Amino acid sequence: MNVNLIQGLVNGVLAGGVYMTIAVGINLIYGVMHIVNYAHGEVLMIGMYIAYWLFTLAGVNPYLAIPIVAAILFVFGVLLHKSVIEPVLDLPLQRQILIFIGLIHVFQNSAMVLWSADYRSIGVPITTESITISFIYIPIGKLLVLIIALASALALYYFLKKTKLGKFIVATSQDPDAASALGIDIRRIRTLTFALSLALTGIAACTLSPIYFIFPYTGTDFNIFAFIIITLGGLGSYTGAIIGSIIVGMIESLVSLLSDASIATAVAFLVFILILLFRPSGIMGKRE
Amino acid sequence: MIMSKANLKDYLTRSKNLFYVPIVILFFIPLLPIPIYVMHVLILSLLFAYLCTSWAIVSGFAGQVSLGHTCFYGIGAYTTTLLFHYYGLTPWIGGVIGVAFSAVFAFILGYACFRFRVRGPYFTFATLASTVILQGLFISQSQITGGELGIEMPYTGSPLFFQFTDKAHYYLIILVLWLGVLFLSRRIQNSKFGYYLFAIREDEEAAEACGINTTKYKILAFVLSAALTGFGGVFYSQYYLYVTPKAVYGLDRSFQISSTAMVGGSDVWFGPSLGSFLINPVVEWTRATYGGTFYTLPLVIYGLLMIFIGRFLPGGVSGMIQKGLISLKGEEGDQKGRSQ
Repeated sequence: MNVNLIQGLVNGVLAGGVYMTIAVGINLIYGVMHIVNYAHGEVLMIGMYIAYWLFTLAGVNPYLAIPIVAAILFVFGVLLHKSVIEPVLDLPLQRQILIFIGLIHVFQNSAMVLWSADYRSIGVPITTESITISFIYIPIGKLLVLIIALASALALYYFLKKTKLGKFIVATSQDPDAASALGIDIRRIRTLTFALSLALTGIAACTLSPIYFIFPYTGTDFNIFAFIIITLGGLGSYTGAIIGSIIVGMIESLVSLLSDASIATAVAFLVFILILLFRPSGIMGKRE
Repeated sequence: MIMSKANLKDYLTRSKNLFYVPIVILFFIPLLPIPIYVMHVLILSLLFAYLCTSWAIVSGFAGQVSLGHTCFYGIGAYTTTLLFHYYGLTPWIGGVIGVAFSAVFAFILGYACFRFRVRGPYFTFATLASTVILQGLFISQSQITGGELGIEMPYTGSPLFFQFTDKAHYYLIILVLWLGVLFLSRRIQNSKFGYYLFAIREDEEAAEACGINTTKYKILAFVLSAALTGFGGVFYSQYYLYVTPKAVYGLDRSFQISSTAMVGGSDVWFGPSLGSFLINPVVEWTRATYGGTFYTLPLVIYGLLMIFIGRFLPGGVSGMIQKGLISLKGEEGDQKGRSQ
């Protein structure tokens, strides 16, 4: 097989890992509450700033900062859910979108006021290097993103399938009324899910902060990709988010390899629309 | 003078005729000695009022929330600019072609989505994806479109080419466009077509069960809304004479259109315009006064305001006004009942 092609496939999987790390979190929220957290990328941005300040002020390596950032965002998630998200759940789609656009405004512009529009970066030596296996380059930073994303996805899977609390979450997502009838406190489960999803985003933020620039609008691009990927996989479908990430990452990387990098995203999104025509609820989604 | 309730009611009954007075006044604004910058803000507010009203036809009335209206905006802007740049075709004709392209693109996208029952958030994200696709396409074909740097419209200053030396002319054009779309939107709201759209928004299955061809009316609303938005793009390209993929296809522009419309209230014909006139002047004013980093502080407040409106005011600002009017009339009715 052609070395270039293998390199393309490797890049695709690595790019898929970057998307997966944020798509899994946003998808968890949809699964339980049937709302898309449009401001997820902005939460990621906040997480990246926390990692940045921990690194700059206290010298904490972003990979070691994972528990701290995850814990901070967990608490932030509880507060955000109680104050803004919970009352919104039963509103029509339009009003939800307005509220989330409002949240995006608040987060982005607060970051702008607090930390200005400067592009910041974390210089951890290991992330700029790459492993070479017979002419195939694997950047360590992105490899770590993929590994940690997979690890946290697996941990989440285990949590949902094996623990009691996780089973409560799954039950709530499958049928809230029945779950409530069986004595599950749905409100608490929803708060927990939202906070958990933000904690996952905190993990993502730590692994992404050494390889991406940190500025108030970092979240925008991640947002678009996360939306498209979870929709492609099927909103709320756990495996769908992972499959969707790999598909989009793979198409992008192969298109950049074969023709032109600037059109790669466009092709991936075109494929997304085409798939949607045959599977209107995404690849793994249930018919609504 | 403080208006008593009886006076106000009197005013409201007469207001149908009085409605035309402010419109006539609007046409004479360019005669006043107002600064160019104020004129610019007026034009911008009118343009957004126009775009938001067009957006609301499909997203407010029919409830099919599109975050991809910048597609049509961009197609309109780019078609006119490219045709003039390469073939010297006057934007008056280029604009019509641009609108036609927007409508065709909307038809293809709308037909594909609605025919195959892509709904709710799936539809929203399909429209979002299509703006990213177009943005990528226009950036990648840089030898034709100028890529990310964008493309300039050759300046002639001649009305034959939809270009004017005075902002007043642009003002009058966008004013007429806006009044046109406002009139259209009001007509739709009170027509059978409008009622079909409301039925689809409230409960699509039930609407279908009543015998409404939901796919057809959704496509119709989408294409109409897109064609109008496309002409907004044509106006934009003539006003700025410079088009870049980020400026016309950017996601923030999509968000701006939908949030402005929803703040005003996107289920009534005058709501989106109200949103635009409330927000754009204030945002422009803060941009001009504060500038730089502190410019964003008022935007934080604006974001909080959006959350507040979304949470507590169903139907946005116009919904609140309508509610006020209804309760006022209700009180009058009560008094009448008591006096008899």
